[in-house]
Amino acid sequence: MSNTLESTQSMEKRQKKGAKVYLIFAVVLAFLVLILVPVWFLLDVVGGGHSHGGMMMSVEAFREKLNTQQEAYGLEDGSIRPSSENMVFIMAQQFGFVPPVIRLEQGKHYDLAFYSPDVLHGSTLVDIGGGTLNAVILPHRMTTMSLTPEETGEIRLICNEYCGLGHHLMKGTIIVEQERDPLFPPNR
Amino acid sequence: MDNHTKKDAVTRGDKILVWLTLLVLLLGGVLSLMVVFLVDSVMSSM
Amino acid sequence: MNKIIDSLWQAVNADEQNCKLLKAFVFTGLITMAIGAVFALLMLLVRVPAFSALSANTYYQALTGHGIFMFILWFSFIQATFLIMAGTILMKTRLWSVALAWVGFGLMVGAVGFALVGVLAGASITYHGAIPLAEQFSSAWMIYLSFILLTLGMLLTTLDFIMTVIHAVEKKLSLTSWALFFKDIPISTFAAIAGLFIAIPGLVASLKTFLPALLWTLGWGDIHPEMYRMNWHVAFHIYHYIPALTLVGVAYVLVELCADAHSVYSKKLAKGLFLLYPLFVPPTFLYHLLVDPNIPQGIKFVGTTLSLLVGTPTILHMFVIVGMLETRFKSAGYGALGWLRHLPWKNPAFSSMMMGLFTLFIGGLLSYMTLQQTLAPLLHNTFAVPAYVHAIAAGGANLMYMGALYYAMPLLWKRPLWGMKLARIQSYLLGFGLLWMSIFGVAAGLSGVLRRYALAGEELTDASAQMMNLSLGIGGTLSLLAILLFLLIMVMTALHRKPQENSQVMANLIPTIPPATSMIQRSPMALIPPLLFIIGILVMTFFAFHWLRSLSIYNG
Repeated sequence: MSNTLESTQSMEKRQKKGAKVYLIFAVVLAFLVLILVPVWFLLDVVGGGHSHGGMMMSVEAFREKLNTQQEAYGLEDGSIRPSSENMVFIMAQQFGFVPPVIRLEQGKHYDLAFYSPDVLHGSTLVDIGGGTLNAVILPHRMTTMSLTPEETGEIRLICNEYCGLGHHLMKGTIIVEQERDPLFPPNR
Repeated sequence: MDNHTKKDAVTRGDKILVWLTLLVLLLGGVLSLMVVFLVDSVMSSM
Repeated sequence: MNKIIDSLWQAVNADEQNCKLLKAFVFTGLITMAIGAVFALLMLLVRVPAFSALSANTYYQALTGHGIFMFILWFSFIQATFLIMAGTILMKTRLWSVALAWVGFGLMVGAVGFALVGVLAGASITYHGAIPLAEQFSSAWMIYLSFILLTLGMLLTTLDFIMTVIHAVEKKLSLTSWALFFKDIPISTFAAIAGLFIAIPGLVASLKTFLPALLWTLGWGDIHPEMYRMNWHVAFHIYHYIPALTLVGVAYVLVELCADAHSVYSKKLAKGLFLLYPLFVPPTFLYHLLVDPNIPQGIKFVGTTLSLLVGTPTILHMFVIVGMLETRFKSAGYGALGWLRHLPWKNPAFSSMMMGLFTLFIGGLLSYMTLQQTLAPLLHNTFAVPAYVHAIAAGGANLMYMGALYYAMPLLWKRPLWGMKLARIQSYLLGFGLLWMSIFGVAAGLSGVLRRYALAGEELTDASAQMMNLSLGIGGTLSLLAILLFLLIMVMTALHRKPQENSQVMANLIPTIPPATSMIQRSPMALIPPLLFIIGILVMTFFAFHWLRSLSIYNG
């Protein structure tokens, strides 16, 4: 009788010890979520981030930049073909992007600077094969998205932040063109 | 509920839980109040 | 008769006043859920490419209503119910002041009224109520007023709970007295106490956000859009972690009720784990703002790193809870895997809880993608966000709350649960529907579908249109059916018979678990979910970065 009691007690002890080991494992696992930090370094993605910028600006100042850009790079069909040397200015407003069509050259690096004169907007670039890159456009503040288009075709530009009853109408197009494409509409 | 015969036995662990709660009350409280109230000043300085 | 159920029955019946109050909270909560479901149906009709019905205006109206009624109002009412239950029935005490709680309830009902009228009057500002957009909607003030009334109502209810707790401690200033009190209360009541440390700052943040907004819409004072945005996200962040904590607290009640399971670890451990939430939650609000242009990269990096820890307390709780089931059933003599088969899968409350844990797991995995700074641009405001949020909130929290209501309804209304067979299907249907919606929704989001967008068909490629048909067309419809089924069961339970005066009404909810014959305390299987979670976030992170880099427009 006392023997069985003893064995139950020792078993209980062993069980309790085992339980503790599992708990320690669980704690280790629960904090292992932090493993993603070394993974970021491993994948070399630390500090990356597609949108940046953040300069405040008055509506007039941005309009002036838009006008200058239009004069220098505007085409007859209403689109612009900016140089990759300069920032590309895009006004995101209720409910559209100005200029609505932008022509970029394949393989060149561009900085797209979005600006909202009214409410909160967002910029979504829809890749040619699907997939998006998204950023927030705060009122009266510039948001810059860097872009090096690698394929020719149309990148759709959509507002991703609900900005009023016409939100879904707010869109633009980025046409990625090949270098010296003879079918380009001529520069003015 | 716990076994009532043991009800009055407060162990050190039980007291530690109270201290921890107090600590979290202070730390968590200060932390959240900082987040809630300092966000403005941090924002306006940026 | 089951001991726990019996003691709950007695506690409910001992205080008729409290019972009435709880019924009012539950009943109004169910109404808000029903309204939220109607809005969900309207949204579905717009966004499923195969339907593409209704106008954009109706969609944005329904979007605003659905978010406010499901995520804000329904959760507030049901969580207030659980808070009061944790402070009265579970603690076997009386509420400090029933009158105060009624005032709180009244304010919250006011919030429902203003929200409904506001949405119907066309205040389509979503629950963001972003500024300055709101000034273009003349009834926007009603939404802000609704949020303020709700906050005040919850503050009063919370205050009542705090006073109840303080009142229940014998000597307010004695350490031993508090230690004894903390030892005596159930884990879930302690969870509610720990939750106060995030609830109160959250409510304060909410007032700080919406009071100036209300005054501004009425023409008094000025408000900076970015300040509002920051404040709103602090308030919202804290607010949406209250379900994260509450659902775990509810799960502890449910495993005990449905499976007679007790923790092999001391209750102190489970209680202590709840104290991690107030530490980890407030500093991580930044992960909502990872693609904002005005926040420096360094701050974003710190924010995203801290955010990784928001899952830690929940992962540990899941280990403890699954371990409770495992050890209980293995002690009853079931084998290493056999215990899984013998869990009370036919108890609707239990299946609701398990489906809740499962959807929470999947949603949690997906959430770890959006809170990584460099992945955020890939997912921000795409349909992937509402898709995973539905797995976590409409799944994890909601299913857990429904599980609790399967016991709470018969207890409060003193009538047996109506439609046991339907109830058995309901939780599986909702869990399945939400998972389906969530997984295909994330796929749709990755392929370029945006959230909060009134167009369904013409904008989409064929592939993404198919994803939306699958996600919302099938998953969304099934989920909605399951919600209606749940409401039907609840309403019929409340109406179909006369109240009975003994706990036999609970007979079909009593667990029939064989008694424990041996003492098993090890729970190796409970380690599997956390292990899978870590493997899951690693695999998905690698996949996501691969996807990101494969975009022809991605730029380092």
